[in-house]
Amino acid sequence: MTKRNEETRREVGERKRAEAALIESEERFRLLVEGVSDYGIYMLDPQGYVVSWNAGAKNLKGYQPEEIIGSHYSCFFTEEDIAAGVPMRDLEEAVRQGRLELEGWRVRKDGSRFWSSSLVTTLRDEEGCIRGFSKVTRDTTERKQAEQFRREFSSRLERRVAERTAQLEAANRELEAFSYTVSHDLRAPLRHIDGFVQLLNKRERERLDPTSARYLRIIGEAANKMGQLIDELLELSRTGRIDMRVHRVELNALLDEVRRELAPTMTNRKIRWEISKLPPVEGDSTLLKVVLINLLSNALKYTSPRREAYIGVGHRPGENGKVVIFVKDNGVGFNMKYVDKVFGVFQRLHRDEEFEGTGIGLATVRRIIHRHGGQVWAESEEGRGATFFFSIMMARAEG
Amino acid sequence: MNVRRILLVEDNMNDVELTLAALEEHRMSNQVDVVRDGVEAIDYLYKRGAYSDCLHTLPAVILLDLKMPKMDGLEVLRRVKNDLELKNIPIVMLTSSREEQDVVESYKLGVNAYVVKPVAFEDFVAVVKQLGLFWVLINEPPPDAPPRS
Repeated sequence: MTKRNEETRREVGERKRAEAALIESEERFRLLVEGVSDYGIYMLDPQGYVVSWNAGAKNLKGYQPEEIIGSHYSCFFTEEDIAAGVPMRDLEEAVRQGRLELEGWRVRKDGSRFWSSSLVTTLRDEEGCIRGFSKVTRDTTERKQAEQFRREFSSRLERRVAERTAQLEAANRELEAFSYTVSHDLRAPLRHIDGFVQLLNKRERERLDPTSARYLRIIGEAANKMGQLIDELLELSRTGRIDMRVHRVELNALLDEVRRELAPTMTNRKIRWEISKLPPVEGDSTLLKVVLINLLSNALKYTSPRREAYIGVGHRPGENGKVVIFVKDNGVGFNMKYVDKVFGVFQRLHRDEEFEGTGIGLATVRRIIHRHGGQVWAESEEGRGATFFFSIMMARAEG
Repeated sequence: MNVRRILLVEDNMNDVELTLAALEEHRMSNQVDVVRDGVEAIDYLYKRGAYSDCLHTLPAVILLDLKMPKMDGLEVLRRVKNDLELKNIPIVMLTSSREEQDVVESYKLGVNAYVVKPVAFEDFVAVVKQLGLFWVLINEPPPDAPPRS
C-alpha cells in the first residue's frame, strides 16, 4: 500500500512536472511567436476567423490583437480579390495541399496596400480534423517594387536600344547615300578636268611651252589621283558594309589570280617569288582577294628599288583553329616605331615622290581581316624588308 | 549614207562633249544623236514630241547615263527592255557610279553592258573605242532589228 502510494505520488509528480514543462515550452513558443516583429504570424479557425495575432502581424497590418481577433481574415484582401472569392479559395487550396505559398496585394487597416508573401499551413488534430490555419506573412513590397523597377528599367532599356538601333540604321542609310553621291557626283567633275586637259593638250600640242605642258600634266595627274582616292575610300566603306559570304577559300588559287591581275605592274621587274602551299581558310573570297591584292601590290611597290625583288607568302600555325598567313618582302621596309600607323587610314610612311599611294590599302586589309575575326600585324627593319601577317580561321576538314 | 546610229543619252554637257571627242578619235562622232534626258530618249525612240517628224532608224546601240533629271537611266532601260520592238537594241550603261546596287539593278533589267566611266580620259577613249567597235561595227543585230546600211 505504502509502496503503491509512493509510486502514485511519483507518477503524479512526474506528470505535473511534464505538464509544467509543456506549459513552459508552450509559453516560450508563444512569446517567441508574439515577439517576432518582421513576420506577421497569426492563426485562423477552420472558417477563416482570426484567433491569434502576433506583434509582427500588428506591425504589418496595423490592427491591435483585440481589434482583429474574431474578425474574418478576408478583411486583409483587396475589394477585387474579395469580389472574386479569393480568400475562401485560398483556404480551400490550403486544405487540399496542406501548405500553400501565396503572393498578392493585401490591405492594411489604414487602407494602404502592400505586397505580401505568405505561407498558409493547414493545422489538423490527431484524427485528421481541420483545426485551423497558421499564416506567416511578410511585406515584400520593396522586393516587388525593385522587381517592377527592374522590369520597367529593362523594357525602357530595350526601347532605348531599339531607338538607337533605328538611329544607327538611319545614319548608315545616310552614309550609304553619301558614298553613292561621292561615287557618282564627285567622280564626274574629275573626269571632266582630266578629259578637257587632255583635249587641250592635244589641240595645243605644238604651241605649248614645256612649263605649260607640265602644268597640264600635273592637273591631269592630280585629278586621277583624286579619282583613285575616291575609289579606294569607297572600297574601304564597302568592305565594312557588304554581307560576307563565308566559304572554304583556297588561298593559293586566289594568289594566282591576284598575281595575274597585278602582272602589268611587274613588267621590267625581276622578282623572286616564294609561295608555299597554304591551308584552305574560311572566308569571303571577294574580300580576301582584296586583302591579297593590297598586300602583294604593297610588296611589289616597296621592293621596286631592288635589283631583284623577293616576295614570299607562307604560313605558320595560329591559335584557336586559326592559321597565320604572312607576306614577306625585301623592300625598303619601315621603322618599327611607326608600326602603329601602317594600318591607319591615310597614314603613309613614305613621301609621294618615293612611292605612290593613297594610304587606304592596309586600312582596308585590317578592316576585312577584323570582319573575319582575325588580327593583322607587321614586322620590319628599315631598309631590310617588311613582313605583314594576318590570322584567319582554317577551313574545317572536309568529309 | 545611212550609217548605224548611236544614241547618247546624257544630261551633262561636259560628258556629252567628252564622249563625242572620244568617239571622234575613232571617227564615229558623226553617227551620234544626243538626247539630254530619259523623257527625250523615249520620245526619240518612239518618234514622238520633238522627234515626231524625224526619219531616223532605230539606233544600233544606246549609251545611257544612269542619273538624269525627269527620267533616269534605269527607267529608260526598263521601258526599252519591256517593249517588243525596242528590246533588241543593245543598251550600254555608261555611268560614273560603281555602286553595286546600280550594277545589280541594271543587269536585272536586262542591260547589255555596264561601263564605269574611268576618270582618266585616255582610258575613257579606249573604253568608247571598244564599245563603238563592238556594238556598231562588230555585233550582228538580230534579223528583225533595223537594217545595217
